[in-house]
Amino acid sequence: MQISKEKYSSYKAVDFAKDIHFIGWRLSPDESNNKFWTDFQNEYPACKPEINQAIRVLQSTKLNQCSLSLEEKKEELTKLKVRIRNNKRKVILLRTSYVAAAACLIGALFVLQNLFIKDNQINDTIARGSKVIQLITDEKVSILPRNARITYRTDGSILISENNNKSQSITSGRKRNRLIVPRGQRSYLSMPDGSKIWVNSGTEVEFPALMDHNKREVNVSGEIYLEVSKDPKRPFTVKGDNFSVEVLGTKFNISSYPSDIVKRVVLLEGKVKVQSSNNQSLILDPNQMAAITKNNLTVHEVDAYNYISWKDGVLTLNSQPLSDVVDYLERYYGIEIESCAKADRMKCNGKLILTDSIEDVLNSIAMTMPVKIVKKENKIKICSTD
Amino acid sequence: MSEKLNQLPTDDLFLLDRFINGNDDAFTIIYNRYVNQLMAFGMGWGFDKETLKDAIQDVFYKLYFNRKAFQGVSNPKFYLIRALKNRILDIQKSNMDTTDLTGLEFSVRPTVLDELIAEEERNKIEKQIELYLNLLTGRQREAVYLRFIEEMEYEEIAIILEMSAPAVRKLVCRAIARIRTEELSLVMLLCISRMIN
Repeated sequence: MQISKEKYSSYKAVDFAKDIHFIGWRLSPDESNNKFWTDFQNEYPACKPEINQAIRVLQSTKLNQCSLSLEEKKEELTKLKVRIRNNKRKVILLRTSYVAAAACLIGALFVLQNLFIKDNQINDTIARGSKVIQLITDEKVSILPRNARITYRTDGSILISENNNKSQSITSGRKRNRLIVPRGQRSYLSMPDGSKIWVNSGTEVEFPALMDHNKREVNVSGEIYLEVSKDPKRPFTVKGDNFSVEVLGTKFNISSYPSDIVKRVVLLEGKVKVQSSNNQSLILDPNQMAAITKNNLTVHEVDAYNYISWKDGVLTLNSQPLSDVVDYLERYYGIEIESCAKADRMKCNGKLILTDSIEDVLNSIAMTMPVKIVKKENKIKICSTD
Repeated sequence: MSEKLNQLPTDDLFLLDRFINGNDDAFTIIYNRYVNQLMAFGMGWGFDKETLKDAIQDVFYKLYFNRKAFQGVSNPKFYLIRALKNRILDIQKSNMDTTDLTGLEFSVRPTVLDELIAEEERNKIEKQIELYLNLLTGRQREAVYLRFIEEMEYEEIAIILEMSAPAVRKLVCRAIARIRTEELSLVMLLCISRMIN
């Protein structure tokens, strides 16, 4: 762009907002105009406030402004919901007429199914529906105490300890061990190489019974925070649902719950390489997060501690909607919470201490936000009081 | 014209997740969050408010019974805008006798909302933005709108414009280049008009 910077030196915010080059920069930024306006601001720092104000003016500018008022939105939504309800009735009517035919078919299928998947299914229901922590070594299932801490020793034996220091020892399996932490509980795993793994609720971790001499491998479904000991000879790999993370020695968090569309890797210290199943890969620096979806792998700048604070029993919030917090608490405490749409949209800020009692946590939410907690027949509901 | 915020995608995706798993509150939130952006995009095609309201209803109605369509979607806005555009094209087809859609062109009308600025100045800013965008063809305008206003990826815009991603990239680049050459003549024009006045 061959425009002199000097002519802009006396511009006020409104003048910038009217300037065709300035508008061009805001509407279609590219290398050349980005450079021009950065250079300009460096040369004439006094103009910065005016420029920032002009940016705000343009930001507040709507293209094709046509917003619905709150009433209009409500009205449209009501119409939409009526339409949906009418359609649902139709579907139900249709369904009943098919019921007889379907019943025969289902009966037949049920017999077939029972013949085939007996064994697997039993194993799986034990694992997933359970309310206690389980450690599966080969075929043997051990039930562990609440929030148990697990220490893996170099000789292959496993030490299980509780909060009050009672401990027991069990023998490791020969191949791989599986640790299953249900919703509402957490665990901690110390590996023979000195690496530490904090395991969040609703998580399954699989790891080798004995560490190989040339690699370390852990599989995860759910959320873990790792502090990996340095060992250049044995790279440490964590595999999630549709991605893997390769590290040398570092601290990072992985969230890979099957029910979440986005899986996340957040790095606190060191360097890791994230590779998605469709062969995209990237290197993360500290305070960066990789967001992995089925088709995409993206990097975001974050405050890493916000994603890791769960291991200290704290949830750090920066304007997240209450609906996210509710999701989190449901998983963390293994309970169901209903919340009304208005409360869902409220933004939460600050630190929420995740004590042992969900009642305390809910009360502290009710104390700091315009909501009330209603308990009815074992159901918890959060309602807006605004 | 919002600045590209360093916002996490989690908020949207948590919401989607809840919606796919049958949560109707999430459906309501998605509606409230996107309805105005959809209205704005629809206005670009020259439709009136009532027609657009109905078209958007159709989009959400269909979505409600087809939640699975959202599985694997990482950007709900993209999905909704694409669905709305398809719906708009359908309406347009049924309104016209022929299937000739060349008359349909995306247009943009800016409104400055900053109340601290005098109305006269606001009008001037609006005129300038419009002038800037009118240097483009309809397709370029649509691409620039989706890219810089709705902050979509080239791959997503490509699907909406039914062309390849590199072609969209070229389209946007050409738009920028075109603006740049026009800028010069524009500056000259402005100078001349000032001299005459």
